[in-house]
Amino acid sequence: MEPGQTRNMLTQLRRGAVEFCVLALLRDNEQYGFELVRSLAAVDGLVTSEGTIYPLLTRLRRDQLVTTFWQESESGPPRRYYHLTDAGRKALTDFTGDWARFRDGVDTLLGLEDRNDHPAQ
Amino acid sequence: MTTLHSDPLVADYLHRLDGAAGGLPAQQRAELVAEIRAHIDEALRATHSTGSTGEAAVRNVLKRLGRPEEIMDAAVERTDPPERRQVGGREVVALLALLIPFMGWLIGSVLVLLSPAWTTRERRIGLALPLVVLLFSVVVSLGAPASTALGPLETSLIFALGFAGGPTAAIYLAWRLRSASR
Repeated sequence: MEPGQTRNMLTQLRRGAVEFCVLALLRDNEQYGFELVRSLAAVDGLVTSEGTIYPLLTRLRRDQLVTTFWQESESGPPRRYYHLTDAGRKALTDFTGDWARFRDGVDTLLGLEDRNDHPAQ
Repeated sequence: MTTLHSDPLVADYLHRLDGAAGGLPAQQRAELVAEIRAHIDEALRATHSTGSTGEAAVRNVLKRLGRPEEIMDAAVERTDPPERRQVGGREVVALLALLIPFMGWLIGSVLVLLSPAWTTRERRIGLALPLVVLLFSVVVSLGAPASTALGPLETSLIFALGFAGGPTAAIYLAWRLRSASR
């Protein structure tokens, strides 16, 4: 693998993880589009172009992992709020487990984790 | 879909976004442009309240959003069929059905419409072919007796060719299955 290709791999990883980050942000409360986008943008390196989050939200809606509703706002036009469905919640739980195992495995191989801290799986 | 906006930079951006979205279904395109527009307005309201206004603020918001082409890439890749088409029994039956006139065209059309293996555009072409070809040949063969150039044998041949639309559609759709979706 050439050095330049790790950038591409990172892009792939981001793309895969971002949708679950959205679901995670919705775990405890409903949020509207702009809020979600800005929360994600605040995480270093997660989002390169804020606009690409909107097609992702549309897909989550289409896949029925989230539902939306409109709510009036004092400072402007009505806002579209996003709400996690049961299917979305399950997807999030599944991913959280998968991610932890994956992350721990890779960290161990990269030497970032102390082997002794984690019993054999 | 209105891409007009009081700010010329924003209006230009929305216009480019709308233009780059040609590959999307109309409703989806309109929705995406509306969402981006709402985002811009919300972001500008936020910067306004912190005292930062003017062109620099607008440029910053648009820069954070990213290029319209990037946003469109993200939208398109999420709506088209996956790169590798899933071809199964249903698709084979659909193609075979299209070989049989009328009843077969009907059944084949329904199966093609239900199958995710083809893009919308491919489905439209495939389903229109049998009807268009038949219609064309009927029109020509009905009009033929009036002209002296074609005898009854030729007219019958043209009429028979009308049924070539089904096999042509089947071949076209089968050929599309062998290529990547995009």
